[in-house]
Amino acid sequence: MKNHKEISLVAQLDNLDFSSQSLSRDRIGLELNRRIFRTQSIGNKSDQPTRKGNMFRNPLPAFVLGFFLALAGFSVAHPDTRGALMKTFYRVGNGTVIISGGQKTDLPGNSSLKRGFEERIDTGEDFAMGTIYGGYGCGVPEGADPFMKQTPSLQIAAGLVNRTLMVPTYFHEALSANMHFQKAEILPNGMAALYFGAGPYETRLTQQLVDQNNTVTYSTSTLEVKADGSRVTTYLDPQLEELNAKGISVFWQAHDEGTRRRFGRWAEEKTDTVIGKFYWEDGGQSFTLDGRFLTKEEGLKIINSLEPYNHK
Amino acid sequence: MKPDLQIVSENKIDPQDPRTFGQAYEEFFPRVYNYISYRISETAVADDLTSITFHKGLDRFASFDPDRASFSTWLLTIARNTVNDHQRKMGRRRLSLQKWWRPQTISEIDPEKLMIAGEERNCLMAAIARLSSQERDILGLKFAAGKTNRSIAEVIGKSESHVGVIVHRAMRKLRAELEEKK
Repeated sequence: MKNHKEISLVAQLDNLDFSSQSLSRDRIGLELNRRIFRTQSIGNKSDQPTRKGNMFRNPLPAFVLGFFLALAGFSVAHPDTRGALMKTFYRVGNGTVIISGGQKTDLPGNSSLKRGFEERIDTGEDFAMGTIYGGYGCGVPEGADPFMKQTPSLQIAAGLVNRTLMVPTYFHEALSANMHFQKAEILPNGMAALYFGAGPYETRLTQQLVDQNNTVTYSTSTLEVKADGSRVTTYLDPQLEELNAKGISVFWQAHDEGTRRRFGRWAEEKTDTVIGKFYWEDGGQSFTLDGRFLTKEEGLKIINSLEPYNHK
Repeated sequence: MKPDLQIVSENKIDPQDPRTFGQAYEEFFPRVYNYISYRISETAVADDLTSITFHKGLDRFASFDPDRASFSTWLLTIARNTVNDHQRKMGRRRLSLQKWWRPQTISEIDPEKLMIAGEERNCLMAAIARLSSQERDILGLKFAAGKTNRSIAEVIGKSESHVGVIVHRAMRKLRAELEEKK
């Protein structure tokens, strides 16, 4: 028979739950659903689950969903949302804007933004995805596939876009050569997200063609659902710092409060790490560089090392 | 003791229908994540390995044979192999990586301070982090994943009595460490 202490220890071990610390639960669920949906679409056209259901049935963390909705609002240029936003805009370049401050409320049962966006996702007119770095939404150009393409080959990724990709030539000394490039994701609108390093060293470089008529808008926000069902989106001030790299201005956002909170108590005790992001424009492309533990100094080294990718 | 995963969802799993894998995800995530967290202290790495586990699971789902193993045993075997692969790859680089980035891992939490603050849970996590890799593996399968000793024996390819001995030894170590800190 087990003694009292043994039973107590068993009970403690049984109740030990790490999963609430996870940053990725919702993202993994979304990725799996997206893959399952694609399989179903190919295998059985008449029995496909809707992406609308998958996207909004899985609860996203507040900061991700808020970010996602904010991006969605601007990417699809929904008139209700534009009217409701009275914000400060930081212009990084001709085609890159960052929203700062302000608040938006969707009344219960009247979320026209969400409803409209869901419908456009369903019909393949729009695309949306959630990542640990935030959500992303965009329109799907006519004739393009309404889903993300992923490849572990930089050469294949380069062939999927109609421009020259920029890639870093500097990597932290701790990363061996086979840990440098991990994968590329190409979105329906041509945005490329390249992933370098792995685990805590993972950094993501995004790049997409922009001009005055084709802009990308970023924001960081929190989403609060009130007791009456209304949804309040609060846009956080990004605290940008202008720096210089490769002879151009780049903007450093020191850390993402939403992400930082999600790391929980342990993250608050970290004083030697930051969760940061760079924004800049160069050569008609809008870039971001982010990583869970990317430092300003490390990011600048990576940006300074960027070179056009030539696979020949 | 939690019920064995195979009792919870076994009748829902159909390898011919990938949607059942998606439905099982929500239910199985906590235990897979908790198992990996028993073995890997860094939250960010546990996130990545959990993601890899489920994506591998979906890749191989069509070949899952319920007559050969329960879904939970099959999925946890993938999780276990994923962690083993990661630890093999990272082992050689661990020292140099720590120079650049030093996450606060479970093993770095000062048990005494935490005990003073009344955080027995964290003290227990710190004690788990000091167990051997094999002990963490087996305790993770038993308590985080809710497997029986017999199921654990299937997963790790050892006898049930061997598993019982390891569990007993690990529990004794944990109890001794927790007693010592009081």
